[in-house]
Amino acid sequence: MDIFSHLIYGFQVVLEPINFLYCFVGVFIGTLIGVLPGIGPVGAMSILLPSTFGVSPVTGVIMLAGIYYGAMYGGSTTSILVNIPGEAASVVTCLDGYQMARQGRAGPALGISAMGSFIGGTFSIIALMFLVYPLAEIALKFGPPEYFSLMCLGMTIVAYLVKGSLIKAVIMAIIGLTLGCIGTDLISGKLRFVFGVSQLSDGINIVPLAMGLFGISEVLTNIEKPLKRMIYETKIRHILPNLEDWKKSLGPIARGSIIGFFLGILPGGGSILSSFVSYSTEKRISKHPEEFGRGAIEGVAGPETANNAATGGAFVPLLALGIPPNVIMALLLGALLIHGVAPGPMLIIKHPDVFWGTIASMYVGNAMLLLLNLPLIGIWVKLLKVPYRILFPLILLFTLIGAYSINNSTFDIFLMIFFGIVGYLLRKFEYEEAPLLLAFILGPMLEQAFRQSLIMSNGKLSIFFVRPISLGALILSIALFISTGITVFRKARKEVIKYGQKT
Amino acid sequence: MVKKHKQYLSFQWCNKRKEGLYMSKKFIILILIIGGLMCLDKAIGKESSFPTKPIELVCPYGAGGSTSMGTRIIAGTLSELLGVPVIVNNKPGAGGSIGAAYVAKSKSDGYTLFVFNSGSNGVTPAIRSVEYKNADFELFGQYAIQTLAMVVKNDAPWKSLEELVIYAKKNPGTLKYATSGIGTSAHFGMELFKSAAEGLKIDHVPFKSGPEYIAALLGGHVHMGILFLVDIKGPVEAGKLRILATATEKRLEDYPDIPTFSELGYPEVKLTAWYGIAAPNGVPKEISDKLKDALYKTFRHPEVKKMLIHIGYVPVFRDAEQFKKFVSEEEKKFQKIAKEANIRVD
Amino acid sequence: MKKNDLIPAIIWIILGIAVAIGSYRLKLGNLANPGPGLMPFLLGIALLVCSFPVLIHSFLKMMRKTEQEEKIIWSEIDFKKLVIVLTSLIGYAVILEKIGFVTTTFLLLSILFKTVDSQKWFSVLIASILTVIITYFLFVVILKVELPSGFLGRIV
Repeated sequence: MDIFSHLIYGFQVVLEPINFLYCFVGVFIGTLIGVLPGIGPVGAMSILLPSTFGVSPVTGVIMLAGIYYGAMYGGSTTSILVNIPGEAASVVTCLDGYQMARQGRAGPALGISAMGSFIGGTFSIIALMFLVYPLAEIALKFGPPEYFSLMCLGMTIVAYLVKGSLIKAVIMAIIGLTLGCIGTDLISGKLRFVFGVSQLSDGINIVPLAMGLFGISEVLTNIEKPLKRMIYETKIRHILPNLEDWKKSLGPIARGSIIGFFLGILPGGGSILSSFVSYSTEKRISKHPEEFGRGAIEGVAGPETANNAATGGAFVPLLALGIPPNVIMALLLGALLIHGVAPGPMLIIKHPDVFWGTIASMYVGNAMLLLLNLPLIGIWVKLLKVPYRILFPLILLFTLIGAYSINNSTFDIFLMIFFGIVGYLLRKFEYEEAPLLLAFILGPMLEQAFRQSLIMSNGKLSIFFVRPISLGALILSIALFISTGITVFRKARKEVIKYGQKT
Repeated sequence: MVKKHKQYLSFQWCNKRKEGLYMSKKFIILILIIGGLMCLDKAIGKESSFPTKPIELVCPYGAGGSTSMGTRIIAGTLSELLGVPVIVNNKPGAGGSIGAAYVAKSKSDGYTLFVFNSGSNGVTPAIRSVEYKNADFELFGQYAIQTLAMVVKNDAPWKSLEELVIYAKKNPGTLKYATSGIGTSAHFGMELFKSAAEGLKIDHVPFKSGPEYIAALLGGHVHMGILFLVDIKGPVEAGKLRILATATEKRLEDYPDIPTFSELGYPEVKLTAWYGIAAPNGVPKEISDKLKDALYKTFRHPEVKKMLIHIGYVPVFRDAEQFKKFVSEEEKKFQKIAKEANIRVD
Repeated sequence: MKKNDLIPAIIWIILGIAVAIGSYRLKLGNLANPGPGLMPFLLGIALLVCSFPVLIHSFLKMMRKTEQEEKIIWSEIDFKKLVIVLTSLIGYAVILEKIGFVTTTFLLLSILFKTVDSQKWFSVLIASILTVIITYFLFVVILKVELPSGFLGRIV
């Protein structure tokens, strides 16, 4: 087949010593960045950009792309170990991954996460090879009305993120939506709820929010009691996932790959959304939904696969249309342009070495990452045995540096501490943070898409129902909403009956 | 915080009188360590000639954007010429005003430089209140512009600007244009055009980022936009978008067949985004002369110009004096557009 | 849920009202042409509405007055430790850019290592210095992250 001969050519390109070296450097740095909370791939990629000037475009892109998915791999590590999302896409991994770690199963969690990431990444590359162009065309059909309906669908997911009270989850979601309104309103340009603080005029950054709500509050919760009583690691049972874990994870990994790849194609969607969707899908399908949030391995396998598959999907619009779907891809685009390589349909014809070399480097990169991460699991697990009184100052320090490095501003550190306190209090009163975060991410996109659509339709609401994709997504959302509503209603009825029986 | 720490220490020291000698030794060691660290923070350089330590180049936009990439290209060559690292510091936010305010308040010792541009120092002060004035900066020169052009989808029924204008006048309210937000050059550009064409009714659909509005254009969800060349270059080369006119003085080198707005009868529609380097006011003359010298060489360097072109800039050189004059004219232009189109953010 | 739920419920109510009032001032527009205030206004109202079930539930629990349900969540908490940690974090953010990364981090680590669990002074200082050196190397040299160097100068 033609594609395979191209692929072999691509591998030849990658296996040239300098490309191989740069690939390794890229994934290594990427993993490092992914593990360290707060510091995202964008910063590192832009700092290392000048070092790509002296080498060929293929080499430069290979390294930068390596950083990107290295970060995706590494991001889950801190989520599992210390409940701090390494980057926004790994927030969902905190939910069950951290619980698994507390039960002594950090090894299996990390292992499944690495394997799932590998499978998801590889799958998306294969899909990318075959489907680049047709998919790009489909992606273009998503305009503001489609995005709105998609976000509505996304919001119904909120119900699946919590293990406790639904009404509290809804309150958290509302607060998350409200927090998302802080900043500059896109459509009118007006500042909302900024109170004159100029650092807020672009809104609250998700990194300090996530790190504070999840990470700092976790640390605060752990140190409030005398540390001697902290039973962090009783006994490490297995270092690697066992057969049981594998059996449970196969389905989530498969589904996560598909979900991740397709969501990664949409501009703005990307890895965050895909991990949330995967999580709730698994919970919905599962025969034991009550295990989610308490250490269900499906809750790690699915999302981690999805967010790596999304990286492959993100290449679709870049390579096919020359449009980067997120900031990271935009950097890659810039790097390519600096070297005089213009992505788009011409890329594959004018610069086949770049195209196929990049694709082949993804395989190589993914393989390298797997080899790098698996032995590291042993090290991470040992790290957990370090007494908490030594561990937590380090955790705090890394989050502080991470928060600062976003904008080189101490304001973000203050934000993170503030949300850490908020998160701590919320936990005390048994409110869960995940719905807040999801709503915070989806809210602005939802409102923006809604108002953009209305401008497009001159105020007619029918636009959402006339367009087929939008209509489909809306019907799905309503169906999910009703089904959740029925479950809640039944539960509430039981409670009322119980209450009546007691008095 | 330091005070509290020392108080805590002395408190302990008082209480553990028995271990008196032991504790005071520790105390001395602590002082020595803190003192040593603070010295570490100090630069070795004495007052030898400028520069003796790294220079900070502040870019008021995020690390992934085109401004930042352009900045890094400049920083690379400047660094070679001056012999010290030139470190790009991204301080994004609020339309570039956070970075600008930071620099305006910095020391004018020549070690803090700024990417003085039409966003943070042109558009943004025209539409919101900011904590600095352009007079707070000493301009060293301009290195590039980004040009804007009117694009439509390739299969759109309008082959020329005139056809578009006729259609728009016949069907007010049906056409939509895309930008990357309120108060951006794209927004200003279209408003300029609409008023120059005597009140066209084309509705504004803002998007959050370049990729989003390009996708919207390509997908046919909006009809047009006056957008940065760097953002639309890819799709144009690929034949998916068509340029109808450019908002420049003369025709673009890369697209010699495409008329400018002036040629088509709209001479007012001339807008560029411009980029230069500045420092906070008050830099000593010897230092600013040295900087200007190195910067001029950088801006004119053929490699630099080549790389800037690749990422979509048009290298345009103006020295300090020319840049200053240019900026004061541009300032007035932006104020005028903002006032007439009633664009105000706060 | 415990009777302590009353406090959050009241907070939500206040928050909901505040948000609704705040967003009313930004234009609401109407459904066909939403203004910047519409979404937050609806959210404020929604928050208000949703806080009622929580309020009612906590009232019901209060009235039932079952002893074992009053799990005290505020007992056994070492407030002093929490306050010290939080204060030092906030202090870190305040002085970081003035005094520089190296010194501030050293101070922070010393406080955290020492205060939270009794350790010997000496090992605390050694640990702090080591950590500062390693993190500095990791972040500034390898990752080339920008860390502030304080008013006494810059480190390359």
